Formats: sequence, structure tokens, C-alpha cells
Amino acid sequence: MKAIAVIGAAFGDEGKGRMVHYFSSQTNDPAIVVRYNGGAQAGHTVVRDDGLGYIFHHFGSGTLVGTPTYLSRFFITNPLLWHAENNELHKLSINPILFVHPDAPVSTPYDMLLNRETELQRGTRRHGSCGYGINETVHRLCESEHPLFVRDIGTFDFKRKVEAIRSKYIPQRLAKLKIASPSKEFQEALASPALLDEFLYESSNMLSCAGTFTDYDLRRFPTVIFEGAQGLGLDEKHKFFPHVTRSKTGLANIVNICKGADINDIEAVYVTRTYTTRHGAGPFPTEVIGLQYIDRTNVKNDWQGSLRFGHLDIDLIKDNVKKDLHHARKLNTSVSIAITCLDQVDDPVTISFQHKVMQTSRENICLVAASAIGATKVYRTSKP
Amino acid sequence: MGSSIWDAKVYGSYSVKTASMSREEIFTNRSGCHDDLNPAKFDVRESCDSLQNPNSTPIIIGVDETGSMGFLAEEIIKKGLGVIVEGIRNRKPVPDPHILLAAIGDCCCDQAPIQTTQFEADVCIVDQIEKFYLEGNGGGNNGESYPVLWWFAQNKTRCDAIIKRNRKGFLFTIGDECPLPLLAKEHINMFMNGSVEADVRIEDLLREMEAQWEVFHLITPTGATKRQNAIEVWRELLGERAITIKDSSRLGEIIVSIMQVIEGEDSTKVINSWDGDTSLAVGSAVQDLVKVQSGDVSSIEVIDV
Repeated sequence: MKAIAVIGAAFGDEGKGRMVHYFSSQTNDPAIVVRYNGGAQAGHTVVRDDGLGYIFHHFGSGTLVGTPTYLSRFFITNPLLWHAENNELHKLSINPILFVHPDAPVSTPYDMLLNRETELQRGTRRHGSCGYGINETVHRLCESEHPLFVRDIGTFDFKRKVEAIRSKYIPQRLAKLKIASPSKEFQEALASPALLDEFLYESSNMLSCAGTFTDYDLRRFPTVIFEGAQGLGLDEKHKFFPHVTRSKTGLANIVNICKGADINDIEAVYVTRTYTTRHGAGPFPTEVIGLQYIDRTNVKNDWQGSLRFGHLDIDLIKDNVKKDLHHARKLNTSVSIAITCLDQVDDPVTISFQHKVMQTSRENICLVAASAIGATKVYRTSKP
Repeated sequence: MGSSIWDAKVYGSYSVKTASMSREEIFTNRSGCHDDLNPAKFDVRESCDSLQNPNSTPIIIGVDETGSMGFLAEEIIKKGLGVIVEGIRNRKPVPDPHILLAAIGDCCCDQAPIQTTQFEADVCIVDQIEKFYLEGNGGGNNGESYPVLWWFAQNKTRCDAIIKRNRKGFLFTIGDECPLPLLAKEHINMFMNGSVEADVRIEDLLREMEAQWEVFHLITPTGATKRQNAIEVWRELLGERAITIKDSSRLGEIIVSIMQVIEGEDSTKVINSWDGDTSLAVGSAVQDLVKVQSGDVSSIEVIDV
């Protein structure tokens, strides 16, 4: 059995989707893509050889070549967003195959509403949230008596649980967050019976379209591809807290899943663009104000702010990878690096390395980055 | 300061003279910190470009003078200094070295935890080194105040390389213990005549000086190193720039080699350029430093996607 982990080395938007699509299309054996962290806030762009393109949020980036997706128990499902994506894919004549772990958490529309409301209240001191309710879902999951899991969907209790979130948990949480007068849109959406019905309906719809699955079932697939969301620079344990995401973006969850699937060897592919990008607020050591590259995939999202650019920060990546590999002590890990968007930069490229800004050739940059993190393989993309 | 040029002959005769002398005979100062070396008594140390040294490179070397580490000062003055200066002149990793030597102790229990010479390009630096007051105290507080030298470099030096030419200086500290995590404002103000209003976290200080200085720490392992887990602590702080030294009689060669590798030379070539034992000592010290140019990367497989 072959296992590949595609992990973002920086702050997200590195090109993980492209790499997962590549690995999915490289194998003739049955493969499966595992979403091991985050949720539908990820936006992974894939363009198939025939020109068909899609930005995946809920499904794995192998979907365009028919590779099934497994949403592990570390993935936060969002039935409303699942529904929208599933519909869109069907319109493109793609029939996505989905498996889901019964213990995967479920995000409600109320978590999304709360998330947006708190970011609004922070005003200019935003944390850089995507507005998909991830943070609020994790909070509800860990620190309240109202968690919600995939296994709850379809039980007679499900509606009561969702109702309780809406009528009991949300008012408590608003008080805790000291939001005395939520916006009019928020109040209307919270009270809307149509929104509640839609959520209940799409939740059971999602469950009926997806097979339930556990880590043990991964053993049926000769190739397992782990698809990361966000990047190591946004990991919940990163020194850049609170400008982080509440998920383990590196090997920590993967190690857990591998244990259940009897996977002992893994190739960890750390992905970065030839430059660094960051969405929204938060520290960005090599940012260059005014620098801009062509970005075809990121549309400005009102919640995240626009994309920021800077030099490739090899020191940061090296630091991130070194810390991440601590998790993998029980796995046989081979380290690779993937460098995307080489076609977008001038030759020579400006990089930041050993705390110095310097220039190196496009050819050399892959080797510099690979030797810095101790990688034995480099994947590079230089086609648009 | 630092307007003349190093004369190997003068240093050579000095080196011969001191070779048979004990530490007590070289460092005769027994009466506390000499005013000439006391950062509380001067404003800044300057490293200026001049006719002889048009592209001066400031290099600060701070040795631990506490307890068992007193031998470092001796090692540097008897031999290391000459190796460093001549090594830089011959191998040219950086142009026109201006060297400032410092003795570092423990702010919590020493009278003179930081003493520094001027930046010098010539042998007269040894006259200043002899004035070092080696207290040999140190304390049981699980660390020494190595970062005082960082604060000093950042706040009490004025270097043309940094200001006029946007080139970084080099800063080495050498010792066996952990760095103390905080610089107390009282200590900065008392020992270096500073005027800070809050304690300084050393991580913050490091980040602040990254643009001006290449910072290294050379660990000379002793029992204290192991007790304090100092290698781990330094690695966490400086990464591969925390370097363990197995043979402290090769300090000079190691320092020159580090500068060569950092300035882009292939580390294998640098290691092989020394003889026998020196090559071994240098090799174990610089092997982890990552070079900028591609060296032995032939084993890396490149796949176009």
C-alpha cells in the first residue's frame, strides 16, 4: 500500500489541489483521497487536461478523475455547502463518490452566522477568518453540550439537537461573546424556519449519498492520498496564534488515521508556491507590499480580505517542516517538496533564505528548498 | 576605530610571547572592569570604512568568562585571533574584518558581565584584551547572559557596513551554558548605560537584529551543558546556527569556515580545505549549515508535473 500526504508548507493556497489531482491521475490502482483536517473553507483549484476546472471545498481534489473522497473524523462536514458543490459537479457531468466517518463533526448554518457576526464585531482587528463557521463549530464541539456528528443525522434525535443549538446554544454563545445586538440579517436567518428545514433535509441527503466508512476500510485501496487544507503556518499550534485556523494542518491527524489503517510508510509532500501568499490578517515575515502575481483562483472574499504576496520564505518553510516531522516519529516518512507556479516568477527569483533576501535561478530554487528541508524528491509545476 | 591593517608578524611575536604564559600572567587585571572596556562608560563602538579598509565587515566575538570557561579568552588571545584574522585575509569570505572582542558573564552575579574592546583591524586589540577582568564567577541560575552582547550589538555599535552598505555583521558568542531568557531592564541600564523601560525577551531581540547581524552561538560542551540541556535550548533559538564545538583549540578555523559557508561557499570544499584534525573539527561544526548554492544535490530527484 502506498500513502502520500499532500501538506501545505506555508499559509494555504500553495497548490495542494493541483498536487492531489496529479497523484490521483498518476495511479492505475484504485486510489482514495482523504480529507484529514479543516472543512469546507478550503478552496482547492484543479484543472483537468481537457480544460475542465473546478474549485473544491467539500470534495477531494481527485474528484475530476473519478477518485473517491473519504471525509475522516477530523474533517468538519457542512451539509449545505456539500449540497451546493454536489449539484454543481453533477451539472458538469461529474458524479462524485463520497465516504464519511460517522464521527465527523457537522457544521450548522448557525455556526457560519456566528462566525461572520464575531468577525464583524472585531472590526479592523479581524483574525482573517474565512466565514465558513469552522472556528465556531470547533468551539461548539469542544466546549459545549451541543456537539453534532454525522452519526446523529438520520436518528430520531437529530432535529431536536439542531433545534437546541438554534434556540439554546446560540443565545448563550452570543452572551458569552458579548454581542448584545446582533445584526438584522443574523436575527432573520436565525429565526427562519426555511433555513432550518433546508439544513435538516440536506443533512440526510448528504448521508444517503455517502457511504459510511472508517480508517480501517482504507486498507482496500492500494493508494491513499491525504489532502491537507490550509498550511503549516496556520496550524493551531503555530507561534502565529491567534491568526491561525483551528485544525492540525500537518502530519498529526494523518499519523492517527494511519494507525487505524495499518499504514507504516508515507511520502510527505510539502507544497509551496514559488512565492509566499497569505489571506487576511496575521504575521507575514517576507511580505512585500505592492507585490502581486497573477492569481487565477482566488477571488476576494469579503471575510478574508485580499491576498497578500511576498518572497518565498525558505526559513519559515524549513522551520514548519522540521516541527511537523516531529509528529511522524512512528511512521517511515520520506520527505518531498512540491514547488508550484514556477512559470509566474521572473528568472532569477527573489527568495528569503537564512534570514537574507537573495536571488537565485528558477532552476536552482527547487534544489535550495529541497536541501533546506532535507527532501529527496522535488515536484515542480511550470505550466499555467 | 579600525583604520589600520593587521600585521601577522607583530601578532606572531606576541603569540610566541604569550604561549608559555598562564592565564593569570596574561590577564593581569584584578581590580574590576576597566573603564576602557566598560559599555556603561562609552556611547557606541564604531566600525568605520577607511582608505585601508574601504569595505569593513564588523565581527563581534563574545567569550564566556565565567568559571570553567575562562580558558576561552586565553584560547582566543593566544591563537584564535590570529587564525581568524589571517584566515579572513587569505580566504576572503568577507572583506576588511573589524573585530570586536567581548567577555561575557552573568548579569545576576558578576560585577562586569560585559566588557568589550573597540572594533580593531590591527594588533593593538591585544593590548585591550589584556585589560579584561576575568571574574570567573557565574552562578547557579541555569544560564549566562550571552544575549547582553546581542543588545550591545544592536544598540551600542555604529557600523558603516550596516548603515552605509546594507551588509550584515557577524556575531558569535561562545560558551557552555543556556542563554538567560530575559534581559532585565535594570541590567541593561546599569551595565550598558541603556534607557529601556521594560525587560527584553531574547527572542524579540533576535528577531529585531536579524536584518543587521548574522548571529551564531558556539557551544563548548561541559557538564553544565548537559545538565541544562543547553544544546536543545540553543537549537530551538538559533536552529543550525547553534553549533557544538568538539575541539575548542580550533575556534578560529571554525569561525572562518562558518563565514565562508554562510557567504555561499560549498561546505564540503570548506571542510576539505583544512588539514587533518582541523578538518574534522570544522566538519562537525559546519556540516549542518545549509549553503545557498546547490552543492551535493545530485541525489534529489526532480519531477515535472
